[in-house]
Amino acid sequence: MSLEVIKAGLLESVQDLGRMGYANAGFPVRGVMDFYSTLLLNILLDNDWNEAVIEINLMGGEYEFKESNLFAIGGANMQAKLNNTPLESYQVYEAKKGDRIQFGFFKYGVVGYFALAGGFDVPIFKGSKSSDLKLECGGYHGRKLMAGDILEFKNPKRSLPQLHLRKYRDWLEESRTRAFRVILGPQDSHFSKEQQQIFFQTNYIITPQSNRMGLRLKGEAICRKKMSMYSDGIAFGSIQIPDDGQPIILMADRQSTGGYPKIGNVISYDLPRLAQTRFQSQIHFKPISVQTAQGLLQRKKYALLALHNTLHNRGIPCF
Amino acid sequence: MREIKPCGDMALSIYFSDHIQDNNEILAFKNTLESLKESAKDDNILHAIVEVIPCYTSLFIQYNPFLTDFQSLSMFLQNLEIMGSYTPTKRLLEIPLCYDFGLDFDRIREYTGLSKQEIIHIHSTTLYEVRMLGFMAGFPYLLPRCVLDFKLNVPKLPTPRLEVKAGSVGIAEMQSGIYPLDTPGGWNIIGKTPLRIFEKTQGALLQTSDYIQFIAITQEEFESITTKIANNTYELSIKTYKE
Repeated sequence: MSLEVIKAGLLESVQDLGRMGYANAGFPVRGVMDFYSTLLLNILLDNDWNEAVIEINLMGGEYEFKESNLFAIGGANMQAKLNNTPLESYQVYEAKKGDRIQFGFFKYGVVGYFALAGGFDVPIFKGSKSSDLKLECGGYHGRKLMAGDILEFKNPKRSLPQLHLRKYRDWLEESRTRAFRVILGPQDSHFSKEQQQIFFQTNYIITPQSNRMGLRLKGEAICRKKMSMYSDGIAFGSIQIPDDGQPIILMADRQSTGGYPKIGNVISYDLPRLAQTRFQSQIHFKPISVQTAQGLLQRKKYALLALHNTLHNRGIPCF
Repeated sequence: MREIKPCGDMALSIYFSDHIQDNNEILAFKNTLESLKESAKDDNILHAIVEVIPCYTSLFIQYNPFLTDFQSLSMFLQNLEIMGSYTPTKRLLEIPLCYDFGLDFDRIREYTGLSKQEIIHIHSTTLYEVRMLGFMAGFPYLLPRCVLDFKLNVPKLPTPRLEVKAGSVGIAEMQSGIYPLDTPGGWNIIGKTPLRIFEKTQGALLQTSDYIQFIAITQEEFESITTKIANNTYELSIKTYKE
């Protein structure tokens, strides 16, 4: 008996970085929408980087601690409070038995994260603790959290070394840009130069029909050439152009394969910011090479390692 | 020459042809990757590969971008020689199918000019191959082993149904497929199987490269098999198929 759901939010579920390697058995990846916020929280709490967290979509509920533990929140600004005391994102707090955490109206962002030191004692199903909400398996009984649910802490902590260093700036608050970088392919050849130009010059609106499966955009329709298209694999952030020409960006709950042509794929570095972009926002795309995108990822990884090493009193790598 | 395209910065697809053909090359390539990976040293590029998904004309490869990069991996894959001849032991599964639950026979008759009896005869005597699992929950994409002159060729529904029941068998273009869950769907429904082709703890019943034979059953047999499956007493016919 560690954490009780007093009031459930709109869509809260236990997720880790996803279920890899079981697509051929019919199990898609799933996992968190915003891996950057998740990684930051797990590092601050000295958790395994892939430790499961509670992902809170659009509106959160209320939880009661039945057992003390350290925790941190991040991602969207959920205007969260611990017993009426407002909480900052990316800061480690201590909760005692009986304490209640309430998540309010989201000030900015779309997905919030609630991470606990030592993570959750949730069964590992096909290599992952992610909840598959469509197939109803994995994570917390394969479903979203409901009032009355009890979650168990795997390894709760009373304290952590260097507690005063365990904070990070709210990267989302600083992110104002609505430009998202895209690697062309795999079916960029299905779109003429003119159509690709239209795609990169249009301001698309994220419609309210968007969810964990995909972001449905509204804007200038993109037409494709008459070429045969056979179902192939779909990566996180892949931009599909269906018959009506309105792009769909496939996200965490995407299917593994699909038959619509994909003009490009949002780069991993930009995916967390994309997942946090609200409905009715206008976004646009910029082409970028896969080499540059992978260079950006390396930089991100070093930034995370630097945070991790600081908390463990190790030197920051110089390069 | 294989065409390799990035699918973002953590995955890529290798295209083996621009039209549907025999998929031995795709499966042999996957098999080569898996065999080599097993005996590879720790620093080998193969360990950067996280997942390999065979599709109709391509292989989708998810990889760790911190262990390799797109250029290095594509060069490696471009030069990979398929090991030996790949003659896997394939399975032949008999799938009981009650055509009485078909919903779109009128539409299929209209497109093919065939009678309902002829449609059922063709569907239940065709040897189908599982070319890929996808969409969700291991929805099997089935193609006739021999597509030449294949008469059951019907376009998908213009508007998908809001709900197709699990176990429904559909046809679309020359493919056949079985819905593993209740979902919206755009395929022409030709019948229903009592089999559970996706099960939460085990996963998908079918694998890529399996052969399927549909066996026509009556509604009574449908009910009886459903009960047997619920009681765990149904024995699915799975034979070894040698080419």
